Amino acid sequence: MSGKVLIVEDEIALSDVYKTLLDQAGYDVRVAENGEVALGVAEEFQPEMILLDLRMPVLDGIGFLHKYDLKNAHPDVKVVVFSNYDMQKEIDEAYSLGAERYLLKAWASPKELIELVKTTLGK
Amino acid sequence: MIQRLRSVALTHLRALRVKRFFSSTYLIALTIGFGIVLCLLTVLSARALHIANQDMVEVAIERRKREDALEINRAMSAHSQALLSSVGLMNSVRMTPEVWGRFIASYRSEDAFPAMFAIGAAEYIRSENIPELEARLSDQYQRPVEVFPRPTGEFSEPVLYVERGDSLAQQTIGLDMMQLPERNEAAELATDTNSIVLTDPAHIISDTTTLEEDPRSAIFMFAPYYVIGSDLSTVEKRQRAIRGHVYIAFHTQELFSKIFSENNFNNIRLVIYQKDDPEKDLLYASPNISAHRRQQNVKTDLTLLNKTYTLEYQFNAASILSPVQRYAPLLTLLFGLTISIVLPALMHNIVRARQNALHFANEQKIKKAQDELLSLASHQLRTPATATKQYIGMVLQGFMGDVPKEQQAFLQKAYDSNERQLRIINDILHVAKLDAGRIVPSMKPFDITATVKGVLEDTASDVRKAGITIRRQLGRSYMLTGDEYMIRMIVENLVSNAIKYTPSGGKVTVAARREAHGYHLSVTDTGIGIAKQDFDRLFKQFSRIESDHSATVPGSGVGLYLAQNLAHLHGGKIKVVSKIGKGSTFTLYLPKNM
Repeated sequence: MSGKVLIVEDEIALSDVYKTLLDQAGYDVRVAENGEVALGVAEEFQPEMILLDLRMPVLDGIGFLHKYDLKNAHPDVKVVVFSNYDMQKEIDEAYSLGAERYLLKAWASPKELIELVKTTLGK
Repeated sequence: MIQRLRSVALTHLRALRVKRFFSSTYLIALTIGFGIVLCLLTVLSARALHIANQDMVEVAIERRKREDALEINRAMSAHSQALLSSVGLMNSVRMTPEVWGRFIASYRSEDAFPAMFAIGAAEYIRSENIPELEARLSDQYQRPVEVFPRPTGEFSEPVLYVERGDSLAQQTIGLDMMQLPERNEAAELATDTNSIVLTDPAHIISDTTTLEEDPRSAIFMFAPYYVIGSDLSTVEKRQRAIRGHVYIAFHTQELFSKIFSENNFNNIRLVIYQKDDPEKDLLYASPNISAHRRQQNVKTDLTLLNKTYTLEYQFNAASILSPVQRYAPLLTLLFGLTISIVLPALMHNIVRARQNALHFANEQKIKKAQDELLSLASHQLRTPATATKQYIGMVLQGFMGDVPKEQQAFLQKAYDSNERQLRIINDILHVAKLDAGRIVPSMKPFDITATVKGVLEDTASDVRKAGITIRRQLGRSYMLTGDEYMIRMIVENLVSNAIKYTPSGGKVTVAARREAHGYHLSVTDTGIGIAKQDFDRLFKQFSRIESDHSATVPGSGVGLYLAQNLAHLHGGKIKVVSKIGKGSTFTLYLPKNM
């Protein structure tokens, strides 16, 4: 498998493990700790998929989506939003900005996560 | 982060430390004490008013006594003066009826001598001189005059002149006073003492032919006149020198009426009688006042000349006082007692309400602090737990190569344990958010039958592992308006509980009943059952029913609390029936539309 995945997540423990997992699965992975940094990395890395955490300092997920202009500027990039349950509003907003799916961070097992990435990139 | 945790914990502890200001007992004791104090004050005030009233009555009566005595004395004094001047006249002129008449006319004004019935003069003569006297009088009066009744003793004292010009008075000319005992007694006393004397109560003659008496009480005032220039130093000398008496006749009732005419007798009845003899010789009785219970009597003695009279005041304290004064003590008592009940009760309620409000606010603060603390902690715990899940999962799911069977089992246990941890964290965070009102259900129509089926599929492996069977009676689809994720959580909670509490070999039944207005989902287990007294606690936050079995059963303790809350959010509820040893049935009811 191949594919360029950008992980945008402020919790280092989590971004580490997801990077490890995706590396192991053979993807090309980059990490950004907030939306602001993510813009820069995305510019340079040109990811095919972004796993985007919504709650981050400096520039959060929604802010990133606005600035990244997903629908118009990067219509081919697949964005999966990480969230917790109570963020329904934000999830809806993310969808309206072009996000593909959402994923409850704590629940997906490694297998499920990989499956998700595979399916999403396959579309 | 640590700072934040610490500050929240501190708020929590500080809030816990705030105690109630007053305990319930203390407040009640205070209230009662307050009430008693007010009662006492009331009683004292009412009593004071009552005593003041009594004093006022006493003062009023005293004043009346003084005023009446003054008036009586003044009147009698005036009459005495009239008598004395008549005596002077008798001593200085040769008396004739005309002279007497003119003299008296100058006195007899109603103002100065109220109620003087008649004023007359009598002469004390030897009975043998009566014919001579009769002749003189007949001449003076131009008609025959006789002394009557025919005197039998050595002396007599016929009336010579009398003024009150009418015929009745004129008929008294010649009347022998000595034969009328009260008059005689007074006349003799006057002679002996050379002073003005009053008779005992007697009667005025109303018919001189029959000597019939006017029944009305009368007294006579006598003054002696002696031979001019005689030595009056001893009783014998006075008796030798006496020439006759001048007298005034009174109807006593009329006399006192005229004296008191200006006084207001509305409230006070006055009775005058000769001392110690109220029945026989009533001299005066004021117009009646209505007889009241609690009538008071005040007596006073009044000495006039030679007699002592008793003035008896009968009154009703209530009528001396104005209605306001009269009822003031009672009203004060009633009002005061009412206040002493109402005011403390009011105070008690207000303080209690305030306390409760404060207590409630405090509890809210504590709860909020609690939630915040838990939220914060849980939130922070979630990240490492999630990371652990991924790492162990990666090894378990073969991403790091094959895993030997023994190691797989252990890793699986670690993975499961971590899953449970995540669930607990999740539940706690849910609860905290619920309490803070931060969870808003997103209401959309969905098929609940499908949701339940989904949950059962997800838990199929748990069911197999637990060695129990599931029976389902779900029926067709049923559309509900609600937040599907939340409803799913409730169903998951009920089903996982049932699985947890059913021992191996047991059965869990999931049955649905569809109605027009709502949907019922029953989850029945064949577990240990729940005691009735534990029902309430089941749904409380962070409670777990302690039993032998539950020690081995995993659970976060917030599941049912959360489930119930989520049900409430949808206008529904969860009910439970249970039998110890047989099992429990939890029924979720959801309305079709909220």
